[in-house]
This record gives sequence, structure tokens and C-alpha cells, in this order.
Amino acid sequence: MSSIQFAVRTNSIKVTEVHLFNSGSFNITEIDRESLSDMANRVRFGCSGSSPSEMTFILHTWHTFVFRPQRDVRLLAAHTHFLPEGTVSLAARKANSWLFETPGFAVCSVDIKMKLIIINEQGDIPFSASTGYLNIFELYASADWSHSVSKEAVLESDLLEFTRTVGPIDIAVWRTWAIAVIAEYKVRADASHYASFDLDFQSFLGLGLGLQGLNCPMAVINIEE
Amino acid sequence: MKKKLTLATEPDLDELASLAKARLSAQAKRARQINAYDKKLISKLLKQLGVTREELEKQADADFARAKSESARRLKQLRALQKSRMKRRKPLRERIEIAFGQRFEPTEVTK
Repeated sequence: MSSIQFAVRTNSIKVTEVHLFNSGSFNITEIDRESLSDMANRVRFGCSGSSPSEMTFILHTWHTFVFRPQRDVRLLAAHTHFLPEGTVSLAARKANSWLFETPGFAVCSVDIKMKLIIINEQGDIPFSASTGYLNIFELYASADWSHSVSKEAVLESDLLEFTRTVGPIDIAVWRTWAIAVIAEYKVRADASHYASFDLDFQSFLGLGLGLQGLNCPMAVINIEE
Repeated sequence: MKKKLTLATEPDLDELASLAKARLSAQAKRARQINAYDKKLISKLLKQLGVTREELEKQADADFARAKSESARRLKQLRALQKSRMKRRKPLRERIEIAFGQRFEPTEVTK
């Protein structure tokens, strides 16, 4: 009999961030990881940067859900769900003159990916698979020689809008094994030649129930007993 | 007559490293010279046009500030829209239960 199992609370959330710049100013507010309540498995952060030369900011998050089957089962598919909410604003300065000078350019993108790992009782990995990155958001501001340009966007998603799936597969999983389903976000922002970016994935808009942040509300597996 | 091939010995590698270093420093020197020439050329051309570099920078900065303030205003409007949309939504748990209840049977919530 086939059935579906849900996990709505992560076992762990890991975050790494990288920022590279030659010159300019950069500011990141504290990265906040939350998996305190069901379905609020989020990473909240805010980040702003501006640079007269080159600047890059990359944030990676891994939300890990672990399933422990009660019986020997066959795993048929695994899914992760993504619910990102935040705002992005970019600004790029026009070049001083048209002579040998480059106008400003800023870009921000959000990509998602999932990984499935089956772990046996010895801690070995008999099976693992991952999807490629899927771009779910991209915004850029490109100035020219006569005008500065600014752009802004709200990244808002609906339930089941962004999902990644590993499957169909057919893998035997014994009751002593564990199935780890990992949802991954990659947020990248670049600013070059007098440009700036401002990412806000933390403000609650004063509602108290907002989901601002990089959320992974759940992971789902399809199994056959 | 064919030349006998020999493996690179340590002194050869040292020589290669120093050659690479010399090449890099020559490239850096050339880049500095080009930059200095460009700057001189731009200043000369700007002078002919009757404007100074400072003036142009000032104009670009003012334009950049205008673009940023316009962006802040538009972002405020977007956030107000987002807030009103969020108010209309049901809580996430409820939405998930409805969506999955309609699609899948039987289900088992693990945690």
C-alpha cells in the first residue's frame, strides 16, 4: 500500500554566507534560524551593500528533514516545498561620462535545490541524489551613460508554487535506516561600478504572522509498504 | 637529430615561477600606464568640452540619489500591497491542511 509522509519541522538548519568585495560598504543583520514551530522553518536575514568596484554576497541555507520509517518500506519519491518571502531593491549609478567608464550594475537571484540521502544504521549512505538548481527569482538594475536605474520587487510565493522532487525512484529502506531530505536555498547579490543592493528577508510588516524569510514549510515522501 | 627530453628539475621550476612573477608585474605596470593614459585623455577631452570631472561626478551622484529615493517610495507602496494581501490569507497550517487534504489520501503526519 502506498502512502505519504509529511515532515513539518526541520531537524536542523545550516547557513553559510560569503561576501567578497574590493571596496565599498557592506552590512548584514544577524542571521536568524527558526524551527520553533511547525512549518516555520525559516532563515531570516537582512543585507545591504554598495560598491564603487565589485561586490558579491552569497547566502546558502540547508533545511534538513529526517524521516525514520516505522517498517521496511520502498521509497518512491521525495519532495521539498519552498516558501520564500522578502523584498529586494537594487540601484545602479549612471557613469560619470561616456568616456571609458562603466555604468553601475546590480543583480539579485534566488535559486532552490533539494538533496535526498538515505543513511543506514552504520552511518553509510547507500543512496543519494540531488536536483539541479532552479532559479525562482532574478532582478537586475543596469544603468547607462545617461540615467541611474533602480528596481525593487517583492518575492512572495504561494503554497506548492515552488517544489523540488527526486523521483520516481524505487529504493528499499529498512526500518533502522533514516531518510534525510534537504532543501537548499542560494541567494546571491552582486553590485558593481557604483551600485547597491538591499535585501530584506526579515521584516514582519507589523502583522505578527508574517513568513518573511527563506521558509521550507515541509518535506514529503511517497513510500510503499 | 632529435633533442633529448628531460624532466623539469627544481631550479627550472624556480625559474618558471620567477618568470611568471615578472610577467605579472609587467602586466600590472602596463595596466597602470593604460589607466593613467585614459585618465589624462578623459581630463583633456572634458576640458575641451568645458566640463570638469568633479561636475560630472556630482551630477551622477545626484542622479543616483534620486533613483534611490524613488526606489524607496515604490518599495513602500509594494510593502503596503503585500501587507494587505497577507491579511487576507489564512494561516499557513490551515492552508497546507486544505491543499493536501484535497489532493492526497491517506496521509500520515510524522511530526
